[in-house]
Amino acid sequence: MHRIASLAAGLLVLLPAGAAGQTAVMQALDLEQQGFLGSAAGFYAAALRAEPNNPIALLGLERVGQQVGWRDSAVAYAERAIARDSTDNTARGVEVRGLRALGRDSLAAAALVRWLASDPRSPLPYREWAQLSLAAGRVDEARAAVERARERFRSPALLAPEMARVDVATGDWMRAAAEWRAGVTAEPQVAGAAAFSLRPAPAGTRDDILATLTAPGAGVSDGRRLAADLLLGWDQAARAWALLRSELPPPGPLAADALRAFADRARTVAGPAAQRAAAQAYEMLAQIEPAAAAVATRVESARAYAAAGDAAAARRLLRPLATDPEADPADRSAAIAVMIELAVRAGDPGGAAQQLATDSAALTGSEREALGRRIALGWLRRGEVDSAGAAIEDDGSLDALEIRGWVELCRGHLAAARDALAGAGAAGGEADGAAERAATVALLDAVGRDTLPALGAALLLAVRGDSAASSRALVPIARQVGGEGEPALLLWAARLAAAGGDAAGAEALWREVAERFPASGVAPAAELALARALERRGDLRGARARLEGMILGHPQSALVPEARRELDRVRGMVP
Amino acid sequence: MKRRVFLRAVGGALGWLAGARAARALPPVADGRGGAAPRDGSLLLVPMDDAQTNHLKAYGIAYDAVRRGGHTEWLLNYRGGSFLVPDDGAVRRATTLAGVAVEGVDDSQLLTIRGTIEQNNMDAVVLERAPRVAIYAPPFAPPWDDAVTMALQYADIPFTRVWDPEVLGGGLTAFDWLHLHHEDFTGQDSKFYLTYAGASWLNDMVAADQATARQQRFATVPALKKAVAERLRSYVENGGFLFAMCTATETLELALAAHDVDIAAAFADGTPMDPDADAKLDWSRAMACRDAHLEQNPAIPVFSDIDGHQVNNPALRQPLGAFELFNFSAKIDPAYTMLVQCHRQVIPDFYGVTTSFTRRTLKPADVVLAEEPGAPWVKYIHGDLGRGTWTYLGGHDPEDPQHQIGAPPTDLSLHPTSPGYRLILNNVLFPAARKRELKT
Repeated sequence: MHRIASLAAGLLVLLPAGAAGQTAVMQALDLEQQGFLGSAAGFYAAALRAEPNNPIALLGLERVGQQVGWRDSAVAYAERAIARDSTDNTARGVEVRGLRALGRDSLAAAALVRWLASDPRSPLPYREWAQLSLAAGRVDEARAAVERARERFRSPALLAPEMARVDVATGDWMRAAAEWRAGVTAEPQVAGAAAFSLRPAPAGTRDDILATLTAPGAGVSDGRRLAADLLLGWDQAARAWALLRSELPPPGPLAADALRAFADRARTVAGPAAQRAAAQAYEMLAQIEPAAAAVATRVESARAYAAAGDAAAARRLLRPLATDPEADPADRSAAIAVMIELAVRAGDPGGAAQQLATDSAALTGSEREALGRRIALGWLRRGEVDSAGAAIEDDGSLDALEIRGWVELCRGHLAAARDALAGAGAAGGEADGAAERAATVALLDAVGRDTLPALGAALLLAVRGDSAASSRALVPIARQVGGEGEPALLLWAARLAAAGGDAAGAEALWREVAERFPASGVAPAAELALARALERRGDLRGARARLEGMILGHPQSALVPEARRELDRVRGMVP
Repeated sequence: MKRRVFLRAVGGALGWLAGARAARALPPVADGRGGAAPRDGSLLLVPMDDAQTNHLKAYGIAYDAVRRGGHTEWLLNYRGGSFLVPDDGAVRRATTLAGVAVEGVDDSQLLTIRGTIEQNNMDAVVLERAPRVAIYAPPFAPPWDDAVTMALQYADIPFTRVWDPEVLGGGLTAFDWLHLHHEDFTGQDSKFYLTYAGASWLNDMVAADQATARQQRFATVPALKKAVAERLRSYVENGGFLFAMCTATETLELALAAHDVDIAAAFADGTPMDPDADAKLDWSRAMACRDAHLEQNPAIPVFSDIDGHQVNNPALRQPLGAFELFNFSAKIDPAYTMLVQCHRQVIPDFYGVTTSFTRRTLKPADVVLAEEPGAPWVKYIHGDLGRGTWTYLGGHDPEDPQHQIGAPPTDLSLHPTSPGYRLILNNVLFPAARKRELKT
């Protein structure tokens, strides 16, 4: 690869300079993305030979050079670019950063002085100096850089983000808050950085920070938005929403921007309080947005209410949309989908099915099928297997094939279930359910029966949430099945017993599988589970013996790495 | 040139093979079971290149093989510094449990290995005696981990903890190898008194040190630690192998050089540092360093300019880079070669209160084992004193480069191939090698 890259980089000289430079940059970006950093560095260098002041190539060489030990190369190319164009601030920055990274502080200082001299009206050299000093932990030097810039340009709020970071580094949270307030007012794009910087503030300082950000005066709106963002991060979503709401500008683009930013941020925070805050912000946003945009915002608000557990509020927003024949079809179908999902989640698949039938015409075919699958799973959770099957009757997708597999399994049609689940494979159904599907196929292979209604009934108990009853029902079935199916079913019964809170019952079943069926394919899993159970109740010697027996007895098992790690823990070899 | 002792395989590698058994065909085994029953006298190769799945536990396998008296060799520079261990039931069981990759070696394969070693910069060293290992560690639990303790526990190499009373009572004679980690031999408890004022662990540490000083009849903790430092020096002079990391390296040097001068701040012994302490240090007593300058400010948790990185001094703190291991001549310098056996030549650096050693402060006889090219500091140094040796590795934890006080300990099962931790374990096996006269 490296040789090919070198050869290609050499051939670039045959192209016109500009074209060669662009081609090399594209190649370099591709190689960098693929992780071939050394080759990427070669192409960036080739691009710079063709176009010495190409900023993408120069920054690229700096970036990859750091990782492949070519820091000095970036400096050399930066100096070449400066020689051609002394106002190239990108090259100036690369030169200073590169020299500092190489530990040549005196040369870096000299480069900085040259930069200041070449562009005396730019604060960029001071910003670079402050940022480099901060990165090196030279806080006083960073502060001096900002102060010098402020003095020179007679601007007390200049480089406020850099000064704020200095204050955070020294633990002066109040000054940092004041600087960030000035910073976000001058440069709104640093609002995210400001919140990130202030979020780790100790609990005892937070009220003072909020007071600094929300005090009347210049920049109060930006400060209060920042305060609301911080409150979200400090798990005070209701207070955050109240603060933002009280400070909203009159309805218009500014208010819409503020609401959108807050709601989007709150939506990413886990927990019902944050989701409710997001829902409320979206709802208010929908009231001031143009009608066309407001519909999607209302749907998002409903989703957030649903995530907060407030189905009634979600329905209140969605019902007018879902029933409005004049609404945009995409918006209407989104509203209907959320309402159907809410009904399924509330344990009412019948209601969901009825709404799907009523509003079917407003949905596309794929939307109908997706909702049908949701409803099918809802029926299964209620134990109504036939209704589940009916809900996906006309759905030929791989996702439906998986659900059909579960339906057949619960009916006791094992061969059909196996075919469906194996057919869904890794591509169909929920991605994180692939392991569960594979385990179920392995179980059915071990059982080796085409039909076994009792097994379906026992597993349906688990689907309905009664793991303990399912476990109890599986044990006699296992005994009846015999062969390879017996240990496999007993292992499932053990897992279900553990999930149902019956630790002793689970342990007895794991022990039975491990000791009665040591040569079976599921014995390693039983040994590992048993060892963990013994460890949980303090029998470390027993756990160690089990783990050693499992590793030595089943060295080719895929579970051995896990068992080794467990053994290390039991023996106190790792924390 | 003074007499130095080095290490040697019995009669040379090919000589050993000349007395070998009749040819046996033993297939390579992927793990300890491998299907074939072990046979007396046959050997297993424990590769230490990228074919190895758990480099750290491989050292425990080799240690245990030596401890049980089996013929064990360290093949320096051969596939990352591999081991030859007896192919017996115990080794197979241990390698399977540990997840250490091994390969069966028949006589023709062994001949090929010997030939490769003979023709390249490689050597074979017989490991003949499992070293008795001691770790100098306090009886209380500090809020930081000790990389060596973790490495030994993970590799299943037994060790004994010793502390000031054992050291002062002559207890070190029972051990071949001694490790020091985050200990402040200047007696100032790492100068944490300001940064961590009021922290219960610091209060406990100070109280425990003061109680030990009283019990051992020393007026102050710095006086106690100077006496301990002198005992450690004697341990090396009398043939001990000393391995130190982090703060222990620098402060041991300072404590030895300061035998007649007060270098402790008032918070530690009631009197301020001697204002002329720098000039009064006696570097002839130190093992590795010379001409260092003390940090005079008691509020800065830094001891001197021996450390190149100054992690606790915001004004002087240097960024982390990577360090490169030297490639020594295995046949001429097997001792140094053992200490740098690794499957990686360049290793990312890691901070400690003492991270590195400034070149300017090294004694001329010091052997640099690893350095950051172009930097004014080195990472890993080694030297002789009397009949023993010392080895210093800067930094706290190779897999936790920014280690913070109170951070959770490193889980080595997540780093079973750690090149940085291999350097520590090289040192543990180092005293196991048979000694031989210096060739050059």
